[in-house]
Amino acid sequence: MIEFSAYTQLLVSYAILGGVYGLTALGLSLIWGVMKAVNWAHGDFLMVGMYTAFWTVTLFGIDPYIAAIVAFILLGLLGMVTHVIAIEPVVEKPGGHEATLLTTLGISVILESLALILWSPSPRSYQNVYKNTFIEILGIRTSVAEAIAFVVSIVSIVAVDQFLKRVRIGKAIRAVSQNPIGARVVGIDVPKIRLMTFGLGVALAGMAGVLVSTFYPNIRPLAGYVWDIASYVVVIFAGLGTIYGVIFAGIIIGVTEGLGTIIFSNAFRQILVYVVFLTVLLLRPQGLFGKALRRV
Amino acid sequence: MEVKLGGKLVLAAVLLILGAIFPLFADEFMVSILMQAYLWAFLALSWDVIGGYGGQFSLGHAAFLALGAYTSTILLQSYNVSPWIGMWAAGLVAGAAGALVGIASLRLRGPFFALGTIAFAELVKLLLLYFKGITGGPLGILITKSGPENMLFETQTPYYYLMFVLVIAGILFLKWFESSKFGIGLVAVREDEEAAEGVGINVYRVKVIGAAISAFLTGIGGTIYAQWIHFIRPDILVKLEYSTQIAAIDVVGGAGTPYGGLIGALILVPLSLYLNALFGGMIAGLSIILYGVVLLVVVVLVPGGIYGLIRRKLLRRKPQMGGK
Amino acid sequence: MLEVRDVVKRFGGLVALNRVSLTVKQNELLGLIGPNGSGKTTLFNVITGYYRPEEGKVIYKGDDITGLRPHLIVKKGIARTFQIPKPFGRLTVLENVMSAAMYGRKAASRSEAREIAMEWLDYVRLGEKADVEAKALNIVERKLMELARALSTGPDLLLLDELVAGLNPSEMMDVVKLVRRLVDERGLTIIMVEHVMKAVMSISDRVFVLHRGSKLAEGSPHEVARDPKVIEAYLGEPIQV
Repeated sequence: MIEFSAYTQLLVSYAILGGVYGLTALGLSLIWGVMKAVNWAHGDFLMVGMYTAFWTVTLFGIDPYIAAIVAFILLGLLGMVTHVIAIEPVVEKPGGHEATLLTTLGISVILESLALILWSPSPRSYQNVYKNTFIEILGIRTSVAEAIAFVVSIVSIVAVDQFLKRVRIGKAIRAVSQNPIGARVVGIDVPKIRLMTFGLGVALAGMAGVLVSTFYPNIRPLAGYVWDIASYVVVIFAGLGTIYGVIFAGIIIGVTEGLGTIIFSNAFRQILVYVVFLTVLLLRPQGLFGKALRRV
Repeated sequence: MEVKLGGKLVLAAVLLILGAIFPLFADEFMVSILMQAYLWAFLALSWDVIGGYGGQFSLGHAAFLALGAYTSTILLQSYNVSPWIGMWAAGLVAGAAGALVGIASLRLRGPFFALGTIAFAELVKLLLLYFKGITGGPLGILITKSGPENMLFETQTPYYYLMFVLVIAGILFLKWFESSKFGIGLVAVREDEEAAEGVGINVYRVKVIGAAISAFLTGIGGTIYAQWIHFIRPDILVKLEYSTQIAAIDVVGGAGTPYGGLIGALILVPLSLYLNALFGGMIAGLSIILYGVVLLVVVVLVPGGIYGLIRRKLLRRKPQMGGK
Repeated sequence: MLEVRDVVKRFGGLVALNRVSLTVKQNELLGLIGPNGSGKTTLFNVITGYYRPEEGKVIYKGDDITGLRPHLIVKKGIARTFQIPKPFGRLTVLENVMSAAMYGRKAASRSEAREIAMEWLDYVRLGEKADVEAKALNIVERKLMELARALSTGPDLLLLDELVAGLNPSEMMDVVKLVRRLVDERGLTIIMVEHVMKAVMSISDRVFVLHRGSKLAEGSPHEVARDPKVIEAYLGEPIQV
């Protein structure tokens, strides 16, 4: 019985983590769905978000959740700059999708190296009360930081969905995603929409980075990598361009990781994730929710 | 036409001789740098089979490198099999893994394939860590043997020649490959799968064998790499950075050409090693940033890579060459 | 030689081919016509293995080849061209055609393939473009290269999908004559889909008319052209002459 509840606790913690994967995957999914291009630097933008939290909290002593807003704006700008340098020049050329793969890979390498140069490889963390305060809901114990991250994740996903449905720019983003040529015909400024989408996607990654940093005290130049992989897995799992799909996929991946911990060990929990991932990728490349849910 | 061919032969001969006598007048450091450029060039050429000619963008080649390195090293350390023989086993093991990735490529296109290969490489790394009875787990394996019969040398110069021969063999292989029946079939599949089927090409088979060949060669590269560094460990071999560098070198040099890998490696590897030697201790990351910047610049400004640029410049000078 | 028996092909709710039966005799040139969307290309895709029909059979020289993968159908001796040409853009024209000789029915060696390829390239008068990258060809040249490529697989039965569409009248007549010669001089059997009536009517031995996925008429060009059902089917759609 004790065993059982320990397992439940573990699986629920991983489900909460999975919910946060949904948030880290959101920006990636948005960009992928609209541009049909993978942002390989996604995890590195997350990492920059983490450092944004670290610096604003340690230098100015502000609350990490205010840092999330700072990161959203900062990374949004960084995303737009990246778009102008690395995406827009190649995206419409023949072989453009391959080219964006390479250019964002280049951006990824640059961001990681810059972080190494500027901030050294040693891991950093900052003090915050949320990490060390625990709450208990229905017998499940979790840190406040994780609980907040989970809630923000769901709120963000709903917000992005509503933005795409109700706001004019959001609708234009959806139009471009579904039919770029048609969108252009009805007078939508497609390059501008692409710029906004990339900016928004990266801004979301930055915000996700801050939220992750509130409970994952391991801020280092390659920290994005773990979340990067998780985000790709979630997006593929969810299916391209589904907004609500990412939260479900995130939770499924989180629980899979938890099961992996039980079956193998903490260090090898990812084995199960990759096996499941590769299986889904091969059997259902459109993702689990690719058809069931409305596309962006 | 004859003059042009003659010119090419002279150029090739001059480069070969320069390469061969380089260790006679360069110091150990320079020899080591050029040697590493050859090694990376060979890995990039191996990647080119599937990544360039096959058009399947793999970001998992570090896994084949590791599988090759582990196979020959385990054979050497536990069974006393010389790597001169073990390298072929390494190629076969990596090649078999490559065939699996090839099967995956039947269903996965573009970024999905790239993602699949990343996940595959991660899985290989975790499995190498997990089966520590065979692989030594996180501690890795130290090569404790010695002697040329075990492909182990005291100085850098023999390694230099080993890798020199390796890269020349790689280029000659690609030269032959690209005009072979299989090479033409692979490019045909890359250009248009439906049309390829329409001329009788078994697309499944070509893709799987293409991936296997690429992985086979990378596995052999893995053996040579292990013999040079004398020490293997999952986390230093299976790195996304390595997979990325292999692909980046080939793309910068010119993917889908026999020379792209060497050109890319000769530009990127010495520069990054040199920067590393200058600032390495103080500023980590400086040498890697180069890969990012050069990759970005080449993809945006010079599609087709450096070799593509050279070829276009040559063709532009003699516009009538292409026509008849 | 070829028998298509009661073939049904659906896409979701749409029935693209509805119990189509068709036979082709040895050394015959069959014209396959019909308004846009009548199922001509779908029928080609079924015969050449790109689509698997829901019902019906495709029998070739007595063998059931229904749903066989396209590359295996090539090895049986059926080759095709595509409505929109599909060159291997970054291979040379010669390599494009050689690939067909090497992987086609004869599985020729490289040197044999080169000879076969050059022969067919000369036949379609594209010999001097042999060393050009295929993506540099114009639309007419692409179509001719595809014809040479299909021929190099060594087929007995050749399926041509709108080979002359987009050509000017004099080019068109040249190509049409060339196709007729393949039947008369080389003993091939050909099914050609065409929109350009004049092209089909002038060279076909027999014409088969598809309309909304079913057979509308079949007969000599002369009979079909006078068939009131055919005339009605084409009403509202300009007949290209």
